[in-house]
Amino acid sequence: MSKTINLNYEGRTYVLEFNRTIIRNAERAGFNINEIGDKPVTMIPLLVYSAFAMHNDKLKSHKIDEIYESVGDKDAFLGALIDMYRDAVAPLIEKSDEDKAKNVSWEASWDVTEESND
Amino acid sequence: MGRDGGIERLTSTTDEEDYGGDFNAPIIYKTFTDLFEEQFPYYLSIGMTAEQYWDGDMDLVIAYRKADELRLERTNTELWLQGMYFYDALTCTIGNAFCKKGGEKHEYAKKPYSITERQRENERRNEERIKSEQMLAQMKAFAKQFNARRKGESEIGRGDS
Repeated sequence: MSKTINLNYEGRTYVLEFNRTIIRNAERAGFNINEIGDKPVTMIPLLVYSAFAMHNDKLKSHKIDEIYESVGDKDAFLGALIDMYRDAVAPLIEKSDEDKAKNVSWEASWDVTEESND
Repeated sequence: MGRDGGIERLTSTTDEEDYGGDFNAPIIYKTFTDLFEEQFPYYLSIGMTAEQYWDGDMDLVIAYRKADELRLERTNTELWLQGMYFYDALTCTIGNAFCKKGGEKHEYAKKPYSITERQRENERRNEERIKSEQMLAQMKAFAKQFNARRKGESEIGRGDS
């Protein structure tokens, strides 16, 4: 199952999710996940509108703006949206990664798990 | 994934291409759409519909890939099995025609090979049933023989008295 975010606003639950059509449309509209840091004013609204588009396509953009403005921890919310967006390619490239994993092994000179948990 | 989160595909395929210090070689997919569109025909070829691919659950491609692997394995097994039957048929016809006089003749299998777990289990049960029936028959024969012998002995005993 693809990742989803359930967003509750004024007693209503909005499901946020991406599919390939939504992502293709977002990119046709000029969205580029790699430019989100350089052009936040353009990219963030496109990302947020796209996340709503799959299950709430009738929702007006001013309502989405209103909901987004009410989100408390915007950084965490955007982080989750970006994660969800990036995950769209995972099912397609997973196979080649599995194949590669059979041929390559690696070992770090320090405890990688410990550092990643910090 | 590329360093900046983009997706990259290495072009090197041979040993010669693996060396030479050309670190600018990877093809970078500019957008996710490029990757989606490149992979689209493959998923169509393994039975996914355009709607499932573009609008459905994105993880569905994983199930389709696994299903395709199973399909390939099944086809491979079927072809191998066909080869086995063909080999048997050749052995029973041409092989028997050219075998030595008085040599053992090959016989074509009376039933299909057991390939599933259920078939193997049935076959095992059948063998066990046949064995137990044979044992029962032997025991009955022995009991009959034994009884006959006892009867004969007692008749002789009666005659003696």
